[in-house]
Amino acid sequence: MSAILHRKTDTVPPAVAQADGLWVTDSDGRRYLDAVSGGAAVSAIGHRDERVRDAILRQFDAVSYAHGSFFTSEPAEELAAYLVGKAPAGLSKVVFCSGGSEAVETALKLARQYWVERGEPGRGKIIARRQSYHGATLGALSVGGNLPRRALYEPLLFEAELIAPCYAYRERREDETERDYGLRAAAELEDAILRLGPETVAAFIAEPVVVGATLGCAPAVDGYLSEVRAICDRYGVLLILDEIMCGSGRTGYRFAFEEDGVVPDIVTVAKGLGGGFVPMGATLVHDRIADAIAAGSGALAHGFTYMGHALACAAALAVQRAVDEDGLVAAAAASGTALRRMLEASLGQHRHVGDIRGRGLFIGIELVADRETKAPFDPAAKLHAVVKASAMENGLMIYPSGGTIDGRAGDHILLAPALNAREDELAEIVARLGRSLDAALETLK
Amino acid sequence: MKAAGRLDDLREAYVRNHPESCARHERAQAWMPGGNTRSVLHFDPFPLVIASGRADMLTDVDGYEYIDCAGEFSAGLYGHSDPVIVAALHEVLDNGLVLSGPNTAESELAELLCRRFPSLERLRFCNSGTEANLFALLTAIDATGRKRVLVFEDAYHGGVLTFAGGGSPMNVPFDFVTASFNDIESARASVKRHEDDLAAILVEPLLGAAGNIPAEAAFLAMLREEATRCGAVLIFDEVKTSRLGRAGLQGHYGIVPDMTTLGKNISARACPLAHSAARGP
Repeated sequence: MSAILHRKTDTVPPAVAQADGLWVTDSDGRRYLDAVSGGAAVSAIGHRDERVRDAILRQFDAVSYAHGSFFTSEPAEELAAYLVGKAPAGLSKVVFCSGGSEAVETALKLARQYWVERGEPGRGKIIARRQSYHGATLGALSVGGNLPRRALYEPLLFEAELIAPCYAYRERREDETERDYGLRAAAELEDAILRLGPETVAAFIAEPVVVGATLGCAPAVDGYLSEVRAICDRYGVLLILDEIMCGSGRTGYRFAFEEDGVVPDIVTVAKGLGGGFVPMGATLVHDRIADAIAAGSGALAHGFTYMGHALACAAALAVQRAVDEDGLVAAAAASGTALRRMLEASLGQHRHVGDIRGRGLFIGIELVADRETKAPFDPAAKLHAVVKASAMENGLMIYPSGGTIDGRAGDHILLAPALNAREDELAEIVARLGRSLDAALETLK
Repeated sequence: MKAAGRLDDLREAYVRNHPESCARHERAQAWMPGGNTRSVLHFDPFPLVIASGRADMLTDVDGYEYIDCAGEFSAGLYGHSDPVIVAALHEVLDNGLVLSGPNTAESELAELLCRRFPSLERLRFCNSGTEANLFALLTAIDATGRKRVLVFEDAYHGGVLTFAGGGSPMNVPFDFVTASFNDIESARASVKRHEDDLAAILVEPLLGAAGNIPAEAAFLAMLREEATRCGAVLIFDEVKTSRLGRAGLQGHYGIVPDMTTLGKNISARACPLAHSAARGP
């Protein structure tokens, strides 16, 4: 019996006992190859790291926590400076928190405060995208476009305007280039702004590569985000890019949006930031927001208890230094290419693999019943759940999800191994994945 | 020297082990120049003569079995004995030959293909990829009232449309000019130089015979833009590449030519079938 209200009330998952690199061991001694960085693109430098351990112990011996209304701390200051040092010019201030959902709450509240400070209190609406996911807290869920995750809480959520995601596999027509498709998808933002009235819109929030859990790593196509940036500029709408899952080096760029050549007004990061050693999140803001607050009320209207937690910041700083010391951003690009090549070779012609997509080591595999028509499997079969169970039996941690297409139908698998995964480990992931997928499909027959 | 000796040994063994192929090749030489009619199938000292095929296996006349990795030079998508295809062919044969009228299947096939490829509004069938390319070029020449055709170095569009090594004496005597594949600036300059006389631009979106070199998307986009600007007909030869996506490579790139030629894969080489297709004016 467990005293925890587990995710499924009739099942207690295996207990994790120990982990090292990409290998996780449960309390029964079973070993799993971790193809998804602790389960959700978190453990970006693998499990265990001496440098992070030393940094945590050093900080523990000094001080772990003091509230931000009394003190700042050396690790918090150093980490903030480190993050803005790696960010494009303009993104110059950081607000810390304990995870991605909190980072999104912070971003939304900052966007709102910005407009009030600027003397445009009428700007309070947020535009977001269908099939997006920005977090589990009520504000983040309100701007999330994934129906099943919101449905239960609908009465508690605020209303956000939802536009189409950038989902080339299903939305690009065969007579338009990726770029033309991207421009068409981005035009929905302009339509939405005009529909609502630009003077009422505070911000647009999107993920450069959509969260693995909902849309399976659908990346912005060439030209999409620069068009989005131009539209936001035209109407003075703030651009919030959510890099909680795709950021921190995972796509082969420190920030995924660097590949798109845009600079957002606000960025959320988490997951890989603390690398799973500590709960950690951050919201990076552009000068124009920090300056507006400084020139206005001069006070951040928002705060959390654990904002800038000294021990968590020390750990995250050690993780980010390890990423750079070990050259893991470049490694993610190279390993991402290698993993894609292996997946294409192994599953590219699989009759139930419709699309292999993503960037760097953030890869989605969309499963279809029929490649020709792109028809999904019957949602009632819960293929994604069967694949997950089958992978766990084969000693492989992956992150399959359902509802890929519209929140109801569609199945995909997310792969997001640690940025320092070795080539032989990637090959083993692909081998175990192929076996797990075929075994899962066998049970549907 | 050691390698050359080894090669001689292998050649001798090959001749020794394939007496029936050798004999048939000698007999064929009496009636066919070089003993063959499809040069690509020939190699020295003589090619294997194939007796039969089943699934992905071939058997030669000397009784040796091979795994077929040539796949009829990209056309044999379904192997040598797919039961669905074999049954359909039997059904056709049982219905009688040379019927001298439109048949019951052609418009249905035309519809399936038109629905699949964005450039296909209507199409005509013919017998091979070579023939499809010839019809497409002649149509473009007639429609534009111009004569010149831009093709690309090392391209292969059929036995009479071969542009490797400066062309072939067997090429049809059209007014060809060549440019270099994937070289955006020089190809654009070629179009500009000839634009008043240019009837067509004929390009494979993946240069097959030159070693499967994919076109850069920007290169194809430039050809699309230039063809539209100067009124030349942009023809995609998707004889080989139609197998690379449900709408061929035009669907992959999202770039729509004015005409498309198909062959090989659409019939999976069960019988000759090809066509040129075009968008309306």
